[in-house]
Parts: sequence; structure tokens; C-alpha cells
Amino acid sequence: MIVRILASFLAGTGFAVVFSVPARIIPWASSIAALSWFVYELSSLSLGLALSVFLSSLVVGISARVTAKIKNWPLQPLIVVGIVPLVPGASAFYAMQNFMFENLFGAFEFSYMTFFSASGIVIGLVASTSIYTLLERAIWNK
Amino acid sequence: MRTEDILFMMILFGRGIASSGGSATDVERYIEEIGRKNGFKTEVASTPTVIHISIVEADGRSWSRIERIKVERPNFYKIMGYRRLMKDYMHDENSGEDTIELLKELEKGREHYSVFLRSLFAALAAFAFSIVFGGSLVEASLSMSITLPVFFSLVQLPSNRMLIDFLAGFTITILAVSAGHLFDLNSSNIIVGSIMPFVPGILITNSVLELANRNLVSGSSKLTEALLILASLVFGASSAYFVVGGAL
Repeated sequence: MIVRILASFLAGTGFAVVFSVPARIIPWASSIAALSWFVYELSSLSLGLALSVFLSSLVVGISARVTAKIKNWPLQPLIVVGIVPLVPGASAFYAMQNFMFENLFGAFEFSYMTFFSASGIVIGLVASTSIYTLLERAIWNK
Repeated sequence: MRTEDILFMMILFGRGIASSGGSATDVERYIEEIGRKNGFKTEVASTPTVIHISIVEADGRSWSRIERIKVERPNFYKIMGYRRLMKDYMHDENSGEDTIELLKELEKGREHYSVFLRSLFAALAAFAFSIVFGGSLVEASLSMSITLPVFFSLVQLPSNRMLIDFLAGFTITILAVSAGHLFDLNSSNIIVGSIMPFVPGILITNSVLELANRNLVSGSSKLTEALLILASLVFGASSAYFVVGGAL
């Protein structure tokens, strides 16, 4: 598990440079990517795919917002790099490949994974906005 | 500032953010903020290929402009530059005229990282994804070695995205299957790592996010684009399977 968490840190770093994220933001954004995979691995031990992705993107959303607030950085690069390990790129590729080879059961399975991962990420990020606003009111604006 | 200059500034902001991979929601928010600052009622609709702005002055006269957008790859360095310029303009640290000049400079600006450095880090991402998806160290290293030259050569091709992704899928699969056959490795673990820098995963997530924000036109067109890119990658990979399947 530790190797995969380190690998997600590297994946985040790789994509951050591909997306031209400024160097000072990259270590923080990559750490959020590693954190998201850590939460995903832990939660997938007992929860399903969609719920695990939801929880990890919730953590990405909140940690990215806290980092952006403290460092006065924009939110978008932190979130985009943070969700890199969760993004259903591989399952989308396999889904399309199965459609191509007319393996419809496989195609449906991977399409299901892609749709629920993408939805889990989006719902998690949207929920993190509301939770962060509540936290901000409770902690910083007291 | 004249109304047409304000409209020009809106276009520069909108075009810059959209072509750097910013969301339609951000484009619309920035343009509306400029309109509000200057006392205009602003209506804006942003899609990944077109921005339509309409502003109404206090006396009822209206101005409208449509701008075609050429979407490039995500560039957060530029997006941060637009954010900084917007902040300075809103806090009156830069005048409207200065902001327009700075926007023009930012639009012409060079890439923040060189093509080789981006290719090197895309290869690093391929290595990491191969490990995350259960590949061995050797498979991940092969994945990295394949991605570096493929990414480096393909990002410089002045061609459309579909052809580039078809070529990426084709080349990666040919090389990965050959390497897998040569070293007796699982070629799927090599392919899945190498293909990740080309898969439009972020585009898929952004499209769902925009659909959730009720940006239906932008969300659905981004989703269509992502599916076409995926289809090109897979067509390339499938063609390569047929080629190497017969040869090996």
C-alpha cells in the first residue's frame, strides 16, 4: 500500500508538470494526490467503489481548500492534481476497448466503474464546498 | 474606458482562461465581475469552442460579441496569471488599459516548462500509474521508457487531437506488446501506464462537474470530446493489436 501511495504522489507530480502547475505548488498538490489514494485504499477495504471515491474526493476538496486558504493559492491546480489518482482514465479506456472487441459485459462493467468514479469525484468535491464553508465559519470566523 | 475596450478586455480574459483549460463557470464569473465593476448588465454564455458576451449600458444601448475559442492543453501557469491580473484590476492596482496590455503579453507568453521536461514527467506519471494498477517495477520502467519518446514526439505534431491520440494508442500498444513478448511480461500493465498521460480523465471529470453546475452545453460537449478522444486511443490500440497479433 505504501508503494502505491508513493506512486500516486509521483503520478500527481507528473501530471502537475504536464499541466504547467507552478513549481512551488507541485509538492503540496502531489501530497494531496497521495492523501487521496491513501483514503481510497483505506475506505475501499470496507466500502464500495463509489463511496470510496466519494470519501477520497471529499478529503481532496477539503484539504485543497485549506491549503489554498493558508497559502493564498488558487484552488483549481490543487484539486485537479489531487484527484489525478482517482480519475477513471484506465476504466474508461478498458470500457471503450471492450466495446470495440464486442465484449459487452466487460464494457458495461468498466462503464459502470467509470461513471460511478466520475460521479463520486464530482459529488465529493461539491460536498466538500459545503463542509468547508461550515468549517470556515466555525473555525476562522469565530 | 470605452465600452468596446471593456468588451475587448472581457474577450481577452474569457479566451485566455478557456484556451488554457479553465472551466466555463470560471470564464462566465470573470466576465460578469468585469461587467459589474463597470456598471453594466452582462449576459455571457461560454462553451468550450465559443464565448458569447452581451452587455447593456445604463441608457439601454447594448453591445454583443462572439469569439471562437481554440482549446489548447491545460496550463495552470497561465490560469494563475489571469487570476492575478483579474485581482489587480478589481482592486484598482492596474488600470483597464494596462490590464489589456498585460493580457496580450500573457496570451503570447511562452510555455512554462519545456516539451522535454513535460515529456519526462509524463513518463514519470506513466511509471507511477503502472505501479498503482499492479504492474511490477520492470513493467513500470518499460511503461516509462515507452511514454517518453511517444509523448515527446506526439505533443509537437501540428495535427488534430484525434489523430494524435490514435497514433499514441497505436504506437504504445505496438511497443508494449512487443516488449511484453520479448521479456515475457504482462503487456496490459505496460499499456495502462503508458496510455494514462493521453487519457482525457480530467476532461471526463470536468465535464461531469460542469453538468452538475447546470452548464449543460459546455458539460455535454466536453463529454463528447472526451469520448471521441478515448475512441481514437482505443482505435489506435485495437489496430496495433491486429498488426502485432499477426506478426508475433
